[in-house]
Amino acid sequence: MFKRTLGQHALAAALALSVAAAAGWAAVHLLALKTEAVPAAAPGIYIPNLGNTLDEQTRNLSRLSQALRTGDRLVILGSSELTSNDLRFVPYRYLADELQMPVLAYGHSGFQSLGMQFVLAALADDLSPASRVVVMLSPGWFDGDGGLGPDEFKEHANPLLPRLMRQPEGRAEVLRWLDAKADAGVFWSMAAEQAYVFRQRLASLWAPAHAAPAPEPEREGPPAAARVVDWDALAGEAQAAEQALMQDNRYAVRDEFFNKYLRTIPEGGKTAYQPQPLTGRDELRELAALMALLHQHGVEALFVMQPLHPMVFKDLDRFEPIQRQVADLCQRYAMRCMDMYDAPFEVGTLRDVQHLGELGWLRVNQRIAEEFRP
Amino acid sequence: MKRTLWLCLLYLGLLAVMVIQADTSANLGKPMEIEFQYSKF
Repeated sequence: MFKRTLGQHALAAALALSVAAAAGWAAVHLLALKTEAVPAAAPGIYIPNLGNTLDEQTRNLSRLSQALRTGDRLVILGSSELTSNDLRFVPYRYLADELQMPVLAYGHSGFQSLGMQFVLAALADDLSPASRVVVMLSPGWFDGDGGLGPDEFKEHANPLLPRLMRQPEGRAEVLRWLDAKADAGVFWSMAAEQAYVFRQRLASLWAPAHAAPAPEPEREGPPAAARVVDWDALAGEAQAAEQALMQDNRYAVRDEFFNKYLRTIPEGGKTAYQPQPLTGRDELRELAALMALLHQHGVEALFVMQPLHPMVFKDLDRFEPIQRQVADLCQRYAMRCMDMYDAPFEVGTLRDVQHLGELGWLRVNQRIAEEFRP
Repeated sequence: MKRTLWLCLLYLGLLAVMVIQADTSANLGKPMEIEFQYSKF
């Protein structure tokens, strides 16, 4: 082997890469995630991303597709606040279980405007005025220049790449992001993702359908029923539930959080944003792309700008220019927007310095019900 | 020509290893947990 010339190595590698490129081309056209009919599911579904396996990804994408196409299920896209599955009023529990509004919530920490644009662009054919979409925005996304990070690109965009490359807006944003932020690790992960799908497709040829494990039974939801909601009474309950966990500190955050993060910090002088200029330039551009996609398909989504804790941070007014630009985008693309950042602060709105507590989620649920409840 | 084909097989073998080893980037490798860490202080 060591006697081979460099030219022979180059020729062989070129041949092998050509075969790989042909396989990649086939993957883009033949191995894209497909959607299919899915069994009835629980009314409240939460998924942090598309899923750990090709089967899960196919099932979750199918659910998202159906929800967007028919509007039978509210789709909520957000980040770490969605992981609050311990709260009664997190929408995929409260709206689904107590208000009989089926919900599919998608996202976890780091899932930002562009990640959401990718997921929706991959299902662009399903978007229509019937789609009911809620987007939870976090001020932290706009810190510095903002923008989607490489790990999040890999996690949320890679499984959808073949679909995105066939959709004009999705393709444009993927190529723009790759040009601006991609490194060798991102390109390797993109190739590995397609290799994974290719392998799973091959493996499925050897696994006859009758040998496939039975699908997991899904929990049946409560029957649909019209209900009159006393939001004021519920707000009292929500605030009391949060306050009970905030007895031992001066910041109106949960004691557990205070003891872990705030107790040893001198009072005053806490800043929410990094010292560098707060432009949010990348995130604003990606948010505009998300709104443009929704607008193009006639979707009037609800965008919720979440608050930061005004009793903890002293630099919250630095966010004002970004707030104005987000409001302008809402107006330009005819989206429905709820600004909690500027709303008078009520104790219980936040469970810590940045994540919605019971009362905060209740206010969001109320707005969702007003906007989307049939 | 024969040598080149052998080398081609070698590189295809490397690609096959990649296919066998590949995993989806969406596999977080752990159950989802509540994400409340604040590291800015």
